[in-house]
Amino acid sequence: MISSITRLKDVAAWLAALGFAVMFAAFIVQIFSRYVLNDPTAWTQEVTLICYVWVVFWTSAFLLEERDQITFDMLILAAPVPARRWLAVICALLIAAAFATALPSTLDWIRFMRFEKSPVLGLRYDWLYSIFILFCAVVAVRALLRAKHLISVKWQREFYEQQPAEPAE
Amino acid sequence: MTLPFILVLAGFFGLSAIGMPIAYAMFVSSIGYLLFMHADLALFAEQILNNFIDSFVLLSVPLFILAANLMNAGGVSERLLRFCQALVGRFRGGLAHVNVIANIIFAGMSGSAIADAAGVGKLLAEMMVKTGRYSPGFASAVSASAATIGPIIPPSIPMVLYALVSDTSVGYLFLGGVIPGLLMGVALMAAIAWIARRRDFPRDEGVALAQLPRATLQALPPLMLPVILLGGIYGGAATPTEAASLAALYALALAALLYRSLSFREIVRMFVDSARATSVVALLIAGAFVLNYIVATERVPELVATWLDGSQMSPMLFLLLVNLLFLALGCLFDATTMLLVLVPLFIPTCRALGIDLVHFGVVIVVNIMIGLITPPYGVLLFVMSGLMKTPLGAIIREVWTFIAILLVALLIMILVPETVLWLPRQFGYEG
Repeated sequence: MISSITRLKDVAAWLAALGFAVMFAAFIVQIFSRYVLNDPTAWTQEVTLICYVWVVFWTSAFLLEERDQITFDMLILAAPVPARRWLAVICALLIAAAFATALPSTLDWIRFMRFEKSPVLGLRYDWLYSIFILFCAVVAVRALLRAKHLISVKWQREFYEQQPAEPAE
Repeated sequence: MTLPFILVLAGFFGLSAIGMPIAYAMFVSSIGYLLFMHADLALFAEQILNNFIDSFVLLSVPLFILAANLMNAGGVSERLLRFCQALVGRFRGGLAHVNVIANIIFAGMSGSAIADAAGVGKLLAEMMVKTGRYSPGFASAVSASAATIGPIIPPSIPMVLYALVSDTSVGYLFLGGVIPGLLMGVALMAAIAWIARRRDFPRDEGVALAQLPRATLQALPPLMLPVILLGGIYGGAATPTEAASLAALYALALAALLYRSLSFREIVRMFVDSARATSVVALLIAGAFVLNYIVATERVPELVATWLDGSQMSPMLFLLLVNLLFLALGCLFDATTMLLVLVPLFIPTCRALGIDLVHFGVVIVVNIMIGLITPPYGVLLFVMSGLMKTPLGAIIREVWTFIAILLVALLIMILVPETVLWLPRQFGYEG
């Protein structure tokens, strides 16, 4: 179970790297075509923007952990561990609830965007934006799992493993 | 301002305070607001996605991150070191001066203070400690303070974000940062010279001046990068975003081909790391897109402008007060959040009072960067403490002198707008 999750994360990381590399390459092609060939291409700009949006929401959904995020942790680190645990549960449940609530309208709006197409490549916007649906759903599910984990008996592991990573005073 | 808006603010601050990541605190409180107002929840996705697709300038952020990562991993900093040592290594407290100079040069390649601290800052701090002449606290404080120059001298990720929220030209903002960045460097070196004399630091063994041409030659490939970047932008050849990708390509070529210091596997890891760092910033931007939509709907910036206009404040007094406010908030808040959420509140007032937006932008970014080294919440202090395994308290004791001298530099930039605006005007800025 653990190893298959690790493997899936590896695949997710490779895909993120690939998306990033394609974005980078499209930029280079754009510069080359404009300044060397003197024949600017329009599709590269679209490819970079699409890759950017996909890389950001893909990475945020699958690769970013709670500790990677920018958090205002000055107050919370002063609180005793049991209090931190229950506050973390509250945060996780609120995130899950908010994203789950927003999901149906998001789905509707993105389905509605099928009538719009990207100006150069003619790609349908509902496809381009579909990554956001995945992002919302994964965030909600991961937050629920986190809450479940924090409520379960194994919750200590996370807090005590985290301890040494904090700046020592 | 309506009650639901006050609830959004309370929700945002409350959730951040109990440890929810700031980006998610923005998402959750914004969704709460839309629910309260019985507004269409689709606005959430719409504001985020449509703004992302429209903000081409944001694409420079991942590329600047990639370039900095490649520079740090590719051994570029080591090669710059001899050059800096030949330049200022012979003085009293030589390595501390080398640290500042190396950061100034690195600032011309990287747009992120944290990347500079983790790269060239860590390297120099370790060298300083190894000589046995500098305490780890002092070495870390120098590295943290010098890293604040990174986003002032172009390229600069914070200035790209400011350009996004204020609708100002990235090119002129970048130019506006050059002299202030050098001013900060001079200020820090003056403080180091003063400390070195007072504590009677011995002279470090520098690299002989006769070696300077040779050291310069060796450092030339990385030194060319700022030239390519700025030459590209101001020669009119490339947009800042294109210049960012050229910089990343150049860094990749240096590391992978010239120095052969990166394997394919490591390059893949660089891309993954860059994707992660990009996403952390992008999620904050996404949160700010929704939150700022709500702030705009509630007409908050106009309220601020009307209120300040009614108080008959002079532009200079306004600038000073805003700077004091940001310094205070900088002790508590993260730089990106302040730039994306708080700065837009004051843009209409600046326009009404006739304050130049390039001047305001550079000054505010300098201010926010100083916030990165002000305790208790100073990200650069945390980074150096973690990297150098040095207690935060030891760094904080040493950093006060540097904070004080940087504040003097900031005051000069506020009182004399020409420090910021002179260079952009030479390139046709009509402000």
